Amino acid sequence: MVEEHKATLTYTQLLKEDLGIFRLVPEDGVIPDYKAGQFLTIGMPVKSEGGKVVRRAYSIASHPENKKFFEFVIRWVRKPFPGRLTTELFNAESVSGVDFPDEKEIGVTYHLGSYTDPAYSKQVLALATRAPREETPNPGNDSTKLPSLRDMFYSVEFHEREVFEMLGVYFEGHPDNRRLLLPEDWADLPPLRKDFKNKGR
Amino acid sequence: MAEVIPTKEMPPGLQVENVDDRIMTLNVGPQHPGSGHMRIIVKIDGDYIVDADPDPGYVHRGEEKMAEARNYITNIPHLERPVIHDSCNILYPYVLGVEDLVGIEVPERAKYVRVIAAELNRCIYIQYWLAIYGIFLGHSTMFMWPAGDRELFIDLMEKISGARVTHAYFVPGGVRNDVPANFEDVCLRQVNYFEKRIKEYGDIFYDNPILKARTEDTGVLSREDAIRLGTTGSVLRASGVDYDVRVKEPYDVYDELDVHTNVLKAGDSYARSKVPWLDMLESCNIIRQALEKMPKSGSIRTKLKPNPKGGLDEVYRRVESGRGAAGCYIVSKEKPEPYRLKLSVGSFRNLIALPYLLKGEKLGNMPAVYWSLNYWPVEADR
Amino acid sequence: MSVIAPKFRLGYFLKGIFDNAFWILTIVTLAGIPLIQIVLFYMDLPVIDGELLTAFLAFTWLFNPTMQIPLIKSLLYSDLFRIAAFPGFGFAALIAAATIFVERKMLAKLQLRVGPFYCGKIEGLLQLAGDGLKLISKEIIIPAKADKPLFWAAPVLFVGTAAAFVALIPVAPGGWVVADLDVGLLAVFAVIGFFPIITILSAWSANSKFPFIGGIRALHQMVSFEIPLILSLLGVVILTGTLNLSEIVESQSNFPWIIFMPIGAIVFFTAMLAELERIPFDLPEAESEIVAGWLTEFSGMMYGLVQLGSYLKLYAFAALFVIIFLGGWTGPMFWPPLDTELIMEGTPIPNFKGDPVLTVHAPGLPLFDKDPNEWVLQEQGELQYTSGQLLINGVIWFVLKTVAVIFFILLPRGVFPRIRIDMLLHIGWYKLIGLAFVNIFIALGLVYAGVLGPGGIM
Repeated sequence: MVEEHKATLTYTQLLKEDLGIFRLVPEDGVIPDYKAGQFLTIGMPVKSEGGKVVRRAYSIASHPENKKFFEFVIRWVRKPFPGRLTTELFNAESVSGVDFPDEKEIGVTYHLGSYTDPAYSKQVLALATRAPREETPNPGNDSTKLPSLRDMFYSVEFHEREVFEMLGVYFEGHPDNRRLLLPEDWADLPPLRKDFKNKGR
Repeated sequence: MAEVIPTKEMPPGLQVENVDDRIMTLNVGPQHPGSGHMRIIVKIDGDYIVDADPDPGYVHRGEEKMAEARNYITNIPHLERPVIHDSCNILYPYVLGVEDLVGIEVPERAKYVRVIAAELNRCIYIQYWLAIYGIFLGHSTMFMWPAGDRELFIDLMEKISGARVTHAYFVPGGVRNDVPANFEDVCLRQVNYFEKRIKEYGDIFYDNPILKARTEDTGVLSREDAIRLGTTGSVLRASGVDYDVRVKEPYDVYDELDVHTNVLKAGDSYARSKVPWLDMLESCNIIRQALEKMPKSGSIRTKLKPNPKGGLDEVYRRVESGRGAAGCYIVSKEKPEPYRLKLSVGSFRNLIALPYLLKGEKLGNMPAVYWSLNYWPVEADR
Repeated sequence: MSVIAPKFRLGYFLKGIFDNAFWILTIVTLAGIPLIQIVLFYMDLPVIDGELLTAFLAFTWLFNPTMQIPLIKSLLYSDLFRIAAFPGFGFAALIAAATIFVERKMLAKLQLRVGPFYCGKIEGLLQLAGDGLKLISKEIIIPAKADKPLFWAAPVLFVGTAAAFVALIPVAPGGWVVADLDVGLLAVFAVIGFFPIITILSAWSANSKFPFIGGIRALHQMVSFEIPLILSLLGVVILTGTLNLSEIVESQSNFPWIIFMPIGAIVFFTAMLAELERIPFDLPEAESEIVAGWLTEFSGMMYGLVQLGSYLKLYAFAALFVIIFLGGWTGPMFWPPLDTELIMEGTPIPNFKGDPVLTVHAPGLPLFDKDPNEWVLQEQGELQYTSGQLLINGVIWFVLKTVAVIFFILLPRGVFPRIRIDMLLHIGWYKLIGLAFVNIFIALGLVYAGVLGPGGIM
């Protein structure tokens, strides 16, 4: 059963820049019974969303026998973007595929950088992986496949499309595995493989 | 499929699904005065763009494949072809990478000459870009002025490299030849004159009320989205991200110079078009500092051995080009030729923002948004 | 060895010449001469010095020095001359050509370049002629799925409508106008109303996407700017009490209406820019968005005709602005009018003693033999003759003012970028219409306060 009560904020204390203590007293002053660890849904009209009441559930921090107020210790969590490895590495500088015909493998190197973290922004992180290589490639339908990083790093979308057409590495989970640079009717080998010979060379 | 980028809020009544007759598909490009050497497949509902799909590749030349068949020196002239009017900057990461691979030191004077040449080239590129931005918005004066003033810097580059556009000036180990004797005076004079002209650009173009009304609040790229989409260069800085490779990861002598990063908060087309303009002023500043600090004499090139070979190694170097970070990834296998060479260029990285920004915009905003992405189709195709 | 004409034979060459001559003669005899006779039969021939001017007489008089001036005069006051040459098409086309030249050179100077430079030796004077020749010599390509009759008709209709607009413009006192209508202003609005229809028809008939978008944009733009255009002129109509353009000009002999209604002038000028599709309002031809808008599929002289029509339209609109707000041809005389006696009786030239020995008659130019103190001297049918001096004076003022207005129409091209269609419609529907009503209220206030009224200051 859900009841709505109005409450007054009686006490706030900022412990850190993202951590604070808040105490609420219901308008009629009656604190209902609750168990330790129970949570309370607090709603507040938010101006930036047009006065809509935004509701969030918070664990009650005060003791159940305390009948004077509800106490909450609330921490503001900076939300990482969904599916992100870290909150700081964002942009794919480049995704390059390298053909290793001797080892029957195709390497794919992701160069990742960061814009926001001053410590990371000086450097580029290289993530390298290999996929099996087939002598007669059939891009998309052979074993040359890798999972796509597009869900984690949105910026690799076009880079992975380029690697797919240039080396025939199919990225599973990429929503848009179409040709990017090559013409639609390209029917030759993927051009950056070593067995695709430059004419006249 | 988790959609990381939220779809943009469309104006009410617009949708792609379940509407057949209302949607018109326009092929903007590759033969179109408002596209450059690429195609954007645009679906419009009335005056609103509901879907945009960039289709680059019209001028794909396989520079990366070509590089695998040529040695480290003969690669130089053709690697600058993707952006001939920014040829020093597109060559810069390659040259730095080869120096790392081969392991040679660059003389101090050559580093300064490189920085000056790179900044001059940045101005040449931005003027070209600005000219096209002007004509895309129908402002013919802004088309002619930068195209004319570009000659100042082209003449300077001709003085130091001998070629007007395709300089092939940087070589691993330094620069190809020394600057002429009176270069310092001529360069300072041109730069001083050009700074006055830049202010006039502001008067006629950036302060123009029609331009402001037209480009402000169009194609807004928020700070978070700019980071998530991995945009770079002026697009990123216009969205309020303080990031410039020259400052964050200084190469050559940029750490000894005072480089200021121009950051605007708005993230709209107007801000994106204004950042390169501010960058030109900053380039003039850097050139002046570099001319002052440059050693007056000395070697300008460390000679390489004939047919230099890299080790069993790979290297990734990046610089700040006119369009953003330009990186070069070289895999070497103890041969005179690179085993694999990958150019990671700003245009290609900014292209991903195009469909995102165009959705929900009006058709009339398409050129403003498209060209404000600081995009050069030939570079993206490589 | 290769020669230009390997199978040349003199006999074939002569045969070709004779064949052509034979067919030309046959066609002229069978069709040309009857046609000329029919035309001569139905044409009203002028009476000069009591003699009916027949074709034979005209040829005879061409070589008779005493009869050449009357012949030219009769030609000058004929309808054909008005339509084709002076106040009509030729005059407007000349001004349009000058406009293009000035536009190119002025824009070039503004943008720190030289503009057309080589063609015609002096500042690229003949560049326009060269462009015209190029357009004529180009192949006309018509899209395969175009609606061909409409597509062919559109440029011709466009020029025709622009010429009809030009025909309503009076350029000098005494009825120097092709069509002097009592409802001149209404006729102007009626003619302007044709332009969006022609535009959308041509855009639709091309059966192509970019012309279609351009045509829709042109339709939106022209239709929505016609309303402020018409409303902004109502103030002048209220104050003058007439729709006749010549009478509107004559009402401004003391002061131009722009003094009392600058708001109307501003509204009209802005709406005019939009109607003309000039930058900042050149959205129907926005090249970076929709290639060339509704002109995309036109090639060769079809494109040339549309350009000619749009520059004729530019002249006509500038002239309309001059007529309604700047007082048309009124202005101070450049030199004092000659005495009547001087013209009628000639100037006595004395010898060194002071005795008049020789009388020199006024020059026999067709424009200098009328009494300059009267506007209208002679009536022949509906034609009214004007004093030559007043005519020249009026035309000079009219052209000066028109050129000034054209200059201000051209100037924004160097300064402003193009605006967007929603901004354009917003300006048209929200701002200009409101300002036009303000202007009407000013005019009504002036009338009811008794300051001004039909016929000038009360």
